[in-house]
Amino acid sequence: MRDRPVDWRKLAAAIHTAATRRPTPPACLSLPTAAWDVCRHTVQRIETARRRGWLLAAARLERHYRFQTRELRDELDALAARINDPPPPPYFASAQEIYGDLRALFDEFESVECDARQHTLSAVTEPIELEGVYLGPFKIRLCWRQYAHDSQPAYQIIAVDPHPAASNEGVTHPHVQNEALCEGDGRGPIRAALEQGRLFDFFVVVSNILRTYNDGSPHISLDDWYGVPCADCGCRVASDDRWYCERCDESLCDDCRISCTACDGTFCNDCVTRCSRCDESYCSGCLPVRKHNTPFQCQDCLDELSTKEPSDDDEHGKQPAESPHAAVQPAGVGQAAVSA
Amino acid sequence: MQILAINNNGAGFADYLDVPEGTTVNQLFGQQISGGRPEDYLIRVNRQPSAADQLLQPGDRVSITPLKIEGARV
Repeated sequence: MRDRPVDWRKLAAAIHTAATRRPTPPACLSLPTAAWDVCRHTVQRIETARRRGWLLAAARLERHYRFQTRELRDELDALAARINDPPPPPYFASAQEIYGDLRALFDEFESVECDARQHTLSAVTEPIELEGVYLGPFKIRLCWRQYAHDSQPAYQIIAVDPHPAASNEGVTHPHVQNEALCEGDGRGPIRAALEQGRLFDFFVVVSNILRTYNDGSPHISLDDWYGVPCADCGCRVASDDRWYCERCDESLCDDCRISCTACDGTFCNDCVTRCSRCDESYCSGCLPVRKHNTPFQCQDCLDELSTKEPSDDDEHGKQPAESPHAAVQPAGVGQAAVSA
Repeated sequence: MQILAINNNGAGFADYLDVPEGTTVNQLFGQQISGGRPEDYLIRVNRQPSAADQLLQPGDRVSITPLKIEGARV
């Protein structure tokens, strides 16, 4: 049996007092001056038409005047009704009913807490698992003083044992981001429950939202909850942030994807070759033809080498010093003696 | 007799209703939720689970809350 803290009756009374302190909008007591002005303007036009002998125009205006005075009379009747017989105040839970709600929360939730200084009331759900994805329990924390004075209810959804999505730590539930719940179909019942002081209904509706997965509109879908490992570094990446190697179709994170310098395609590290001279990456489709087992050099580097000025040693017939990067193209073709 | 009916379906509302003596929970559900199945809802009388054939008493607080309420990304 859970221990119930004392002074819950006082808390219920305090919540009721804070909520009923909200100013209720007064009944509209404005006179129908716009309808009155329309009638007065029509009277002036009737008098002008009669003075000028425009009898047909005057008759038409008089028909309009009868209709306008009827509208003016209807607005005055509505005003009298509002003054003499105001509508009953909307339902709001009594302090006793709020106390009943607070007691019922203990039977409905794993734990119920109250922070008198922060004016918050919290209820913790059972551990929630949706479609095999464990999300843990959630604390629904309502600021009962704030909600009573703002049009927006002030509550947060706090993951007690967070198991957030791999790609976004702020998404602890498919419909919770940064402790804010996307109410969806629950918006109306939540608003109504808080406006009427039905705290038990508020917590039950919110917890039912947390127990329901809407695969049509999550922040992150449960299919992507754990992400997909990058083929090169192994980190988890969400489907929206995932790249694919255009040769082997492996998944890649943004840090590991490599662009071919020639075609700008996306490739993994295993599907590109780096130029031994400039270290730029090229896919197999953009590699120039080379001899077997010769280090790869890109076409730009080859072109640069082919236009390079011969050294002084070359002019004196000495063989040039062997470059650490052996040229792909042979230094010379084989020669055969030609007899005259 | 008068009861407090709370419907947490759709827009949600709470109001006092006059219902005939002998009205059951199931009958009230049928009046409040047309075409709905009771097994898809959490039906409480005075905040406690209730049987479908439970007779309502004057002053009862009856709430009907869908079990599945879909949240949505804004």
